[in-house]
Amino acid sequence: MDPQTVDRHGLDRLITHLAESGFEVIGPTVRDGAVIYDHISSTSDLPVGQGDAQEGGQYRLVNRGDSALFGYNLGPTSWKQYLFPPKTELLHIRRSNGDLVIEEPPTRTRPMAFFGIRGCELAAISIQDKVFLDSGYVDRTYASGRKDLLLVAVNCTTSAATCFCTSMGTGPKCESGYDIVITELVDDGETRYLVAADTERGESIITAVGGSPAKDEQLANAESAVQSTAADMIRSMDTDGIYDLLIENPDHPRWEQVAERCLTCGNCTQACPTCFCSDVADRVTLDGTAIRERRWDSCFGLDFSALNREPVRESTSSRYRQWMTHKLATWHDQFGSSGCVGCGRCITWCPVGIDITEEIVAMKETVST
Amino acid sequence: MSFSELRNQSAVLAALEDEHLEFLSSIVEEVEIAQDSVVFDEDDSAEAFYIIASGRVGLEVPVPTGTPMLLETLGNGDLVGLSWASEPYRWKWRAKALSPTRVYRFDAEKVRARCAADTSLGAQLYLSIAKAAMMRLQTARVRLLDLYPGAPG
Amino acid sequence: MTTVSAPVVEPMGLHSLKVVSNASESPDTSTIVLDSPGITFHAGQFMMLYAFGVGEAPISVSGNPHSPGTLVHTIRRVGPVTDALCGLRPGDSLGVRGPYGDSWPAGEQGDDLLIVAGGLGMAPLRPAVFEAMANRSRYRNVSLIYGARTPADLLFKDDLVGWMSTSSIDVAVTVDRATSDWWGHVGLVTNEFSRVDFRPESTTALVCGPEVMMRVVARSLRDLGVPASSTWLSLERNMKCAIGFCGHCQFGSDFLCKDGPVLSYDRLAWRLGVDEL
Repeated sequence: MDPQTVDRHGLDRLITHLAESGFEVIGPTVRDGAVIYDHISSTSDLPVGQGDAQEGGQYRLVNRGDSALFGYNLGPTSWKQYLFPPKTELLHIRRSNGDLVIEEPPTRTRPMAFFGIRGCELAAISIQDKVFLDSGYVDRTYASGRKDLLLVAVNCTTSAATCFCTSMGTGPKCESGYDIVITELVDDGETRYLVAADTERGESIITAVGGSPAKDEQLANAESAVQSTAADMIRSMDTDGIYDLLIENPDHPRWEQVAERCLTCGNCTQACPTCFCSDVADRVTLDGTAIRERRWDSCFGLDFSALNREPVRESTSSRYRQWMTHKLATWHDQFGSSGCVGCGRCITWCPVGIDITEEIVAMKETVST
Repeated sequence: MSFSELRNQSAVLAALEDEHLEFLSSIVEEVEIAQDSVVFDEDDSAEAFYIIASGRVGLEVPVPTGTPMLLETLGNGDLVGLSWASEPYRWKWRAKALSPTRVYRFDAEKVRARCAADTSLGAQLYLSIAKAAMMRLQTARVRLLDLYPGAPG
Repeated sequence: MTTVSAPVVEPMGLHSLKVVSNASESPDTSTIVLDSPGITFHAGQFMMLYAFGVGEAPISVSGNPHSPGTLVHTIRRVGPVTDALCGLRPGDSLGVRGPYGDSWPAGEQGDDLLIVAGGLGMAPLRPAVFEAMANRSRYRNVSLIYGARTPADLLFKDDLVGWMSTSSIDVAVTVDRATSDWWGHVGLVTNEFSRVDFRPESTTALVCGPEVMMRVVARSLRDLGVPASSTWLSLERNMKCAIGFCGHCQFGSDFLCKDGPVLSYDRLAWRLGVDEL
C-alpha cells in the first residue's frame, strides 16, 4: 500500500476506528504542565499547538502558535508504564486448611494501541521485549500488554535539546517495528498527515480510515522534515569504544566527580524507557490475603544491592557507575544491544542536570590522554 | 637420615641447597612425642625448632578456666617454632602434641651459630622461615576477619 | 518486534509444599525437609522459598540430588524471611519455585575433585559431595576441605563423620577458633591444601563460602597451579526474582540468578577485584 495523506479529521477517524475495533487507545496528552501518555479519544486530547523546551534538569511546555499535533518531544513518562506497570499484582495467596492457595490474578485481555509513539520509544519496547519475552522466561504481565499491541508511530519533525537518538540509531525516523507511521506535514499552511503502514493490520486500518494517495512532493517534504530534525539535533554520544571505556575504568575519577552531584534520587531510572529493575514485596490485606506485588525499583537505592541487609553498593559513585555501565556496556552482553535509545529523559528529569552524554565525553577525554 | 630425605619432608627445607641440607641432616634428631605431651611451653627458652614428620601439633594458650584455646594446628611437613630465630629466643605459645607425633628436631644454637658463620645458609634458611611466617600471618589475618557465620563470642 | 501468542503462566508463581521436619544445625541455622514430589535439581542450584505474608528468599538446595521426593534446605537466620522459614514446623506450608541457577560442573574424567567450603557454603556443596560419591569412579582423588567459625558451627556433622569413615573422600575440617579438645584443625582452609591430595593441573575445584574467603582460596589455588577455568565459585548477591527480571543480582554482565550462581574464576577474577561492583 502506498502512503496516504489525511487531514486532522482523518486522524480522528483513525483514533475512533481503533477504539471501535476494541483497542484501548493511549496517546500523548497534557497533564500537570507536561506531555504524558494516557487514554485519548480524539486529536483534541493531544497536546495541540504545544512544544517543549528541554535541557538538563529543565522541562516546560511552550505554545508553538500553531495547531501542530506532534510539535513536542518526550515527557517524563514512557510507554513502559503500560507494558511494565509501576505496580503489578503477581500472586494472591491465602491460607486454607493448612495449605497455601496461590492464585494468579487476571491480566489484561483488551489490546492496547499506542498512538504517537516515537522512534526511540519503539526501540525501547524492542529492548524490553528482549528482557521480558526473549531471555528464557516470559513475563506474564508484559506479555499480556504486548499481545496484539498496535503501534501508531510518529516520525519526529522536531527535536528537543536533550535528544540524541541519531547517535543511538533509533530516530528521528521510525524505521521498523510499527503498524502505522505518521509524519506531520505543514503544507501551504494546511497541516496534512502522511500515513504509511508496515503491517497488514496497519494497512487495513488505513484503508478503513480512508485518505488520498501521497504526492511525490509530500513524500519528499516528509523525508526532508525528518532529515533536518536529524541534522539539527544538538546532543550526541560518541558510542565508539564505550563498552571498553566503561568496563575497563571502574576506578575512573569521573565516577567520584559525578557522585558529588548525583542525589541518587532514581529519577533517571523511572524516566528511562528501558530500565526494568523491580522489587517484589508482600502486602497483606485485612481478609488475610497476601498479595505479591512487583514494584519498579532503582539501582540508585541503597537497599537495591543489600546482601543480608548490608548494601554492596554503598557509595553514590558505585551506584551511578552501575547504572551507566549497565545501560551502555553490560546491556550488550546481556541482551545484544545498548540499553540506551537516546531519548534524553534521564538528562531532562535529572534534578541536577547530570548528562549521560557529557559523562561519556569527560571519561573519554581523560582516558585517552 | 639423608639430606635428600629431609628435603622431601618439608616445603620449609625444600628450597635449601644440598650443602645446607647436609649440615641440617648432620644435626637432626628424630623425636617421638606422646599425645598430650608438651613440645615447648610459653616463655621457655627457644632452644630448637621442629619439622613434623607425622602427627599433629597444636599451638595453645592456657586460660584460667576450662580447656586451653587452640591458636593453630600444624601437621605433616609444617615448621613448629619461629621464636628460636630471633631474639629474645623465647616461645610465645605452648606447643602440644594433639596425637602421637614424630618430629625432626634441630638444635637452635647450632643452627644460629652456623647461620652467623655461613651467610649463604643464613639467607636461605631465614627466607624459608620468612615465607612460612608470612603465610601464618596472612591466614591469621583472614581468620581475624571472622568471616564465617556463627554465634558471637 | 517480538509477537506474543500463547498464554503465559506467571513465571514467579509458587507451589505450596509441606514441611516434613525442621532440625537445628547450629545456633543460627536450621535444616528443613520439604515433601516435594516431582521436583528434581542439580547440585549447586537454589530454590526461592516463600514464607506466607513475609516474602521470598533464595535458598540453595542442600540435599542429595539422587534422593527424589524431598527437598532439603539449610537456612541461616539473617532477616525476617529466613526467620520465618527457620520457624516453620512439621506440617506447615510454604511456597516454593525453582530450581534456579546453574550447577557445579562435574570436571574432567580422571580429575582430582577438590571441594572447599566455608561456613554456610557447605550447604550448596553438600549435594556436590553426594554427586561425587555417586560418580566416584569419575575422579582420581576427591577431597573436602571445610572451614567453620567454631566446632559448634559445623553443619552436617553426621555426614562429616560418615565421609571421614570412608576412603573414597579425604575430609579436612578446620575452624577459626577452638579449644584443645577439638579433634580437627585450627586454621584457614588454605592451610589444608598441603594436607590433601590433588594435582593442581588436573584439579576441578568447587568453592563456596564468604566472598573474601573465596577470593583468598581462588587466588591460593591459582598460585598452586590450578587453572582459573577449573576453579568454580558460587556467588551471592541480592536475588529477588531468580529469573533475570528484577536486576538486583547483577554482577558485571551476569545475572547471578540465571548466569550463575556458579561461575569459573577466570570469568570472575577481575570483577572480584572491583570494590562495590
